[in-house]
Amino acid sequence: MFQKFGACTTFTIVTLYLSLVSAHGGEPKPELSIQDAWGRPAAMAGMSGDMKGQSAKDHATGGTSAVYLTLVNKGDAPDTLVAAGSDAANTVELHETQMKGNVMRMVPVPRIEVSARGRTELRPRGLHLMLIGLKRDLKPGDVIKMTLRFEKSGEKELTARVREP
Amino acid sequence: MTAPDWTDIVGYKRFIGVGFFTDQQQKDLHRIFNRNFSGILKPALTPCTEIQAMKTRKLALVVSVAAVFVGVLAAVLIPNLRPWGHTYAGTLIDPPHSVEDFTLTDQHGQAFRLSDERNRLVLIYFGYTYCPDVCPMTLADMLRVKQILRSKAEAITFLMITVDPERDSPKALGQRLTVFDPNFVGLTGDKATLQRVWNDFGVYVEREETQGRAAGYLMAHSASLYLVDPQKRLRLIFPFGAKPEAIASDIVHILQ
Repeated sequence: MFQKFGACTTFTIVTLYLSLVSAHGGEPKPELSIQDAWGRPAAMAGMSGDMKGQSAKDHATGGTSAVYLTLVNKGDAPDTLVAAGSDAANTVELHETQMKGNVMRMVPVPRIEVSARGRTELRPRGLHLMLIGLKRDLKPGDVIKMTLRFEKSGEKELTARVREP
Repeated sequence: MTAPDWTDIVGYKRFIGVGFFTDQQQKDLHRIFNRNFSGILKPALTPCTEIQAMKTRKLALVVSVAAVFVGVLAAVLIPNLRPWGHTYAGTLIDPPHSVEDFTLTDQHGQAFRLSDERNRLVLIYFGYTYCPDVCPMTLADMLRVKQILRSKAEAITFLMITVDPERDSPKALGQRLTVFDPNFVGLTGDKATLQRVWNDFGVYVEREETQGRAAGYLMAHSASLYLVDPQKRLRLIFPFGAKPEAIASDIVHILQ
C-alpha cells in the first residue's frame, strides 16, 4: 500500500513538472477573455406562416438581432473566432457591416482574428454576431447564452445582456 | 478764491501755482490725477458733470460690448437665432423634388397613401427587418429625433419602407417597429410599386446572395433618411450617422 502511494505521488510530481515545463518553455498559447457582451432588443418577426406562397425552407424565418463583444487576448499567440451559437437563435453568423459611400451592406465573414496580446472589438457599424431565427423576444434586461468556437482555444461560453445601445 | 472742493479732484488745477498748495501737495495731486483720470479724460479743468457723462458713456460701451458678445454666443449655441442662416446637417434638395404619390401596405395591413398625409412632414427610412446592425441604429435615431422634437413631432409621420418585400410581411415590420415605437409606420408592398418608390427617392437597393449561409440573402441599400415636406416635396436627405439633434434642428427650420 505504501509503495502504491509512492507511485501515485511520483506520477503527480512528474505531471506537475511536465505541465510547468509546457507552460514556461512550450509553444506560445492564446489566452482569451471575452468582455462587454451585449445584444440588441428584438422581436421574433415573420413566423413561417407569414411567408405566403414562398418556400419557408429557402429563408431562415424568425427575427434577427446582433450581439457585440470585445475579444481580449493576453497570450502570446493569435487566435481566431470561427463559429458561434446561441440559445436564443437557430443560427449565429459572423457578419461585418460595410459602408461604401452611403450604401450599407452586411457581409458574412468566415473568421474573426485576435492578435497575440491584442484585442478585437465587435461593435455597431462593424463586426457583429448576427442572430438568425430568434426563438424568443429579446427585451432589455434579458440574458442570452452564447458559445464561441475558437481555432486554438476551443469553445468558450458567455452570457450577453440585452440592452439599448 | 475759495478753498478747493475735494470731491472735484479734476478742478485742482485752478489752484496750481497760486500759492495755495505746497510743492509736495501739488506733486501728490498731479500723481492722483494721472493715476485716476489719464487716458479717459481730456486733460485739465474738466467739469464734474462731464466726468459723470464720460463714466456713463464708458458704462454704456461696456454694456453694449457685453450685449453683442452674449448675442453672438447665443447665435452660435442656439441655431434658430442665427442671423446668417441655418446650416443644414442634411443635403438640401434645391429646387425641392416633387415626390410621386404611392400607395403601400402598413404593418396593420391597411393601405397607406402618401398624399393622405396632409399638412404633415414625412421622415422616411428605407431598410429591412432582417438587418440587425445598421437598421436598428437608424430606427433608434428616428426615435431620438421624435423625442427631441416633442410636441412638434406630432406633425411628422415616421416611415420605414422596406427594401426586402420578400421577407418583410406587414407582421414582420410591425414586430420590428414595436421594439422602437408602435406609432412608426412600416410599409411593404409588391416589388413593382416599391421599385418605383425606391427609384423616385434615388434609393440604391441590391440583393446579394450568401451561399451556404442561414441568412439566405442580404440587401445592400442606401442608409439615408429622407425628409418630405407637407407639399410632398423631397427637401432634405440625411446621410447615415447624422446626429439626431442636427436632424431635429433641420426639421424645425423646414417647419418655419
